[in-house]
This record gives sequence, C-alpha cells and structure tokens, in this order.
Amino acid sequence: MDIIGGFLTLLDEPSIFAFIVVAVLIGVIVGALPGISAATVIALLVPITLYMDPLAALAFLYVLGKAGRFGGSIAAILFNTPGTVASSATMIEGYRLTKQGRSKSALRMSAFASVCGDLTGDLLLIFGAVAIASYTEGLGPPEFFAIYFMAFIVIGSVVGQSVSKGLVSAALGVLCSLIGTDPISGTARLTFDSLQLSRGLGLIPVLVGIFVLSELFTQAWKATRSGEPADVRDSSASESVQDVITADEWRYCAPVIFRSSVIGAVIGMLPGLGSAVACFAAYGEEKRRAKRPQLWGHGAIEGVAAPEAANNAVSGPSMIPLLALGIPGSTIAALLMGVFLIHGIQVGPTIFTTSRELVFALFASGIIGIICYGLVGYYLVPFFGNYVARFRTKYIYPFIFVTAFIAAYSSAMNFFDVYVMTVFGIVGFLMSRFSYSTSAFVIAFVIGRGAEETLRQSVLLSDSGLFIFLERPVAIIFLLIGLTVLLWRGRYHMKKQDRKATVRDSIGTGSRPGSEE
Amino acid sequence: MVFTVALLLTCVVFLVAAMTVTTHEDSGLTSRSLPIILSVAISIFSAVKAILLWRSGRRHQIYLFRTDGITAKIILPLSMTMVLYVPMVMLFGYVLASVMVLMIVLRVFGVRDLVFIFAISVVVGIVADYVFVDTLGMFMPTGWLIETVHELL
Repeated sequence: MDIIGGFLTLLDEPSIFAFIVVAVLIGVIVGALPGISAATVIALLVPITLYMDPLAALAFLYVLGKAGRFGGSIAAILFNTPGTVASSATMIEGYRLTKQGRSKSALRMSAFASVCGDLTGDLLLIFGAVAIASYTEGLGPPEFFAIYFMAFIVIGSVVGQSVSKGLVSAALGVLCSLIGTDPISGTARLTFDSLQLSRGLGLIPVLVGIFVLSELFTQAWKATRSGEPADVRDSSASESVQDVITADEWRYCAPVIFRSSVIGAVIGMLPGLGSAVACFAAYGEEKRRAKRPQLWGHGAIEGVAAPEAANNAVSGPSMIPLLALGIPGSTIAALLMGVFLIHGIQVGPTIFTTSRELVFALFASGIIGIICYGLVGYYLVPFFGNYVARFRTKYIYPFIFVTAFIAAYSSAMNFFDVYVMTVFGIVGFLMSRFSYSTSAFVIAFVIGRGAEETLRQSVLLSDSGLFIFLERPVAIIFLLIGLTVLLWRGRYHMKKQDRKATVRDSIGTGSRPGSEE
Repeated sequence: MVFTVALLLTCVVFLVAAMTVTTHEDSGLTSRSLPIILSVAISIFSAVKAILLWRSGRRHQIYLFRTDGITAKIILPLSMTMVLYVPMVMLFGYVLASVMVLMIVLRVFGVRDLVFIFAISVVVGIVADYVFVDTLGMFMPTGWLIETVHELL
C-alpha cells in the first residue's frame, strides 16, 4: 500500500514528472554513446542536485541510471559496440539481427525485455528492502561491522578480474576515507598538517575524479592508441526484410524474459556482481535451454531479450543492500548514497521509518521512469537510435571536462576540491590501466567511515576486545559468508590460472590440453 | 610495476603519517589503528607483488608504460589544464577561463578546425554561465581582471 502513497506523493509534486522525462532522455542518449557511462553522467550531475529538492534529485538520478542501462543496448545492436559493459551480451545476437535488416525488431524487443526485467527488479526492491530492513533495524554495531566486512570482501573479490587487486582497491578506498578528523576522538589523522585535508576528502570531488576525469583520460588514451573509432555501421543490412516481431517470436521470448528477469533480480541483490554478470548468466542459461538452438549465434531474438531483461532487472535489487543495510551494492548505488548523504538523509534500515514517504515516492518514480524509457525505446529509438549512437564523443568530452570543474568546485565552493578531483582522476586512470577496481575503491570510500565507527564502537562495548564478533551469532554468519566468498573466488582464480598454464604448456609442446591422458 | 611501487610508497607515507598521530583514547581501538592496519596490509601486498614482478622478468613493463608517450601527450596536458583552470578562473572569471580551457581541451581531443573550436567554446562558455550561475544560482568568481576593469570603467 505504501507504493500507492508513493504515487500520490508524486502527484503532489508534478515537476518531478518533468525531471523523470529529462532523465529518461539523457539516460538513453548517454547509454547509447560508447565511452560515456550512466555512472559518469550521474557523478557529474550529483553536485547539481544540491540545488534540487531531495526527491526530485534522487528520482532524476535513479531514473537516469535505469534509462542508461537500457540505452547501452542501442549501440550494441546497431554498431556492435556496447554502450555499457552490461550490454556486451546483447551485442552477440543483436548485431547479427541488424545485419539481417532486423534492427528495429531487435531494438523493440530490447526495450520490451528491459521494461519487464526492470519492473521485476523493482517489485523485488519494494518488497525485499522493507522486509530486510525490518530485520536489520534491531542489529547492533558488531553485526553491522560484520556486514561491512562481508561487503568489503565480497565487493573486493568479486568486482574486478583479480581478487587481490580488488581487495587492495577496497582497502585503499577505506584508507582514503579515513583522511581527516576522526569523528570519535576529534584527532586529525593523515592530514599532513593541511587545514583543507582536516575536513576529509570530499565525496563529490573523489567521485567526479574517479568516474568522470579518469574516464576522460582513458578515452583520450584509447583515442591516441587506436585513432578515431571506426564507423562500424553495417551497410549490407537488407531493407527488403520485414522488420517486425512475429507472434511466434513473442511466444518464444515470453518465458525467456521471465526467467532472465528472475536471474537478473537475484544477481542484483548480491553486492558487487552487477549487470555484466547478470546479462551473461541469462544469455548462457537461455542458450542452453534454447528451443531454436540453430538460430543462436546467427541472430536469435531471444538472445536480445535474455541479456536485456537480466541486466535491467539488476537495477532495483542493487538498491536493496543500500536501503536495508546502508551498503551500496553497485557504483550507481554508491553515487545515489552520496545524494542521500548530501541531502542529510541517513541511509540504512532506519530510512523506512525516518523517510518512508520519500523512499516509496522514489520507488514510484522508478516505475514511471521504466514506463517512460519503455515508450521511448519502443517507439522512438528504432528511428532515431542510429543518429544518437553515431555521434562522435570527442566533441562531448571537452564539455564534460568543464562541467567536471564546476561539479568539484560547487560541492563546497572550494578550489581545493578541484585539485582533489584532479589527483583522483589520475589515480582512477592508473587503477583502470593496471586492472585495479575503481568500483571497489569508490564503494569502500563511501562506506569506510561507517565501517570504522561500528568497529570501534563494537570494541568499546566489549570486555573481550575483537572477540566480541565471535560472541554474536549474526556477526559470525556474515563473517563466514565473507570468508567463504573469498575462498571460493580465490579457488576459482587459481583454477583459472592453472587452466591458462595448461593451455600455454600444451601450445608449447604441441599437444592439446588434457591430451596426456 | 610502476603502479605497484607507487602504491607501496604511498602506503609507506600513509603508515608514517598514521604512526605520528597522537591518540587520547585509553580503551578500544585508537584513531590510528585502522590506518596503520590498512597501510601495512597494502604495503605488504605491493612489496610482494613488486618482488614477484621483478623476479618474473616483467620489470620491462616500466619502460613500456614510459615510452608509449601517453603520459606526456594526454594525461599531463589534461591534468595541468585542470590545475591551471583554478588560477585562470580567479584571474579571468569563469566564462573567459572556460572558453580558454575548452579551446585547449578540444585541441587535445583532436578537433582541428580552429574556427569551430573558437565558436563552440564561446557558445558553450556563455551557455554554461547561464545554466550554472543564472539558473542554478551557483556562485562562480567573476575574476580579478574583470573586476578591475569594471572598477576602472
């Protein structure tokens, strides 16, 4: 019933509908442009939302993230270039459909599947977040530290390609969050006697540096290495093919969309896994169960529906850890956490008591946003997507550069923040370049202080020091989950290394892997 | 290898900084406990990784990174432009500084048409000023030079 209240709240503030429509248009466009992610644009727009009402600000960025996820499929289908990492799987079948002259059908199916997936994810968010929050509300500092610890381990070990590099990125994020005055004792630490650093590193300069400036450096670096990206538009597409989705195709796609939405929604709940994992998991599963296996790899429309439903279904559930536990499960959730904090809203289980109306209005705006981008995607994108995705991003980066300056400066009207942003832009670029995870860094940076506070409060509460965590059953469960994930990922990583070594050896000796048997 | 060594040095600096923090707490973890733990952990990781890279003969990566010229061609000019943006804004004001910065960055990104660069920079500078200052009400410095000219006039 609360969600109906959410819709009624939106009706009281009709201006939010305008923000939702603008967010959908921006999201679809930036999603379609390869090299500009929704996270980049959200990071850039976070400071601007300081001047907006909290609900309008959150709804705007939340919907932008959703529309951006869908927008990524446009370039993937039309140009064989994923607009976002999450649309990499869509590219496999989507581009083959384009080559057969069926781009409009692929784009329409992508829009429909995205809407279904996103709505499934949001339903899970609406019911799941409240249920989990009602349970976690009664937890104390030791349990919360165990949850933070689990989040660091899971995000650090799952997000990147390397477990050790992911964990180091998370540790570095926490270390950077500790710079400034200690909130418990009031002691300045890691400030190098700088007055500017004693107030800590600002969230916005760090976010803009890591997501926006480092992305600019990366794109500039790619441009100089590979020259101007080639126009991969396919001219051989046959116009004579009837480009409509047949009744049979709808029949084949319906169960695919349902199953993939569920896969995406479940993966979305787990911190760190995200859309990229969901889309490949759904694509793989549906390819395995395919009723028309001969079409897969040659332009199966189910191969567009599955990854799109799954990657959009991640959006809602990735907010569950944020709202129920105060731990962002994805980079976009980390950025939204920044918006909550900027507007003085404490994220965590108590949010459903302190800001219940706002949270449900946010959920309602998410549903309206989904319908909006569905309509845009189904009716407009098949006709205009071609022009949007072909726009040369080198003309956009300079303006992002200038806006990044304003974003960093305007957060506290302090020029020092511009320098902080520049430093983190370089740090972010180097981290990406050497396969360290910027997502793990940012998520750890956002929750680092909270984790330290709960750790120190727990130790202060106890006579047995750090053993307090072993006296609390809930804390033990979360610590064990973290350690299990770490062991599992470590083992997986070692197996992968072994397989690579076997392949290398077999190439060296001229035999196939496993042929020694 | 360069990044690993840089990470190691950064964490050693953080470790030294954390160890010099005076603490007042007499029970539980102090304000320097976590920074020290994390600095030590990252330092050990980086040191081990650096040794492994050195022993595996991948130290030549230092030269690969140095000679691809990207740092000199792209990252340094863009970073320096961002750093210089601040004194430029203080001197010339936001609009004029943005126009100049846009011209530099468009050039760095490979746009060659100088007339286009100039025209688009001026238009965007004015539009940005309208959006951020006039519409959103952000305070942006008008610039020492512009203020002086205003006073003289």
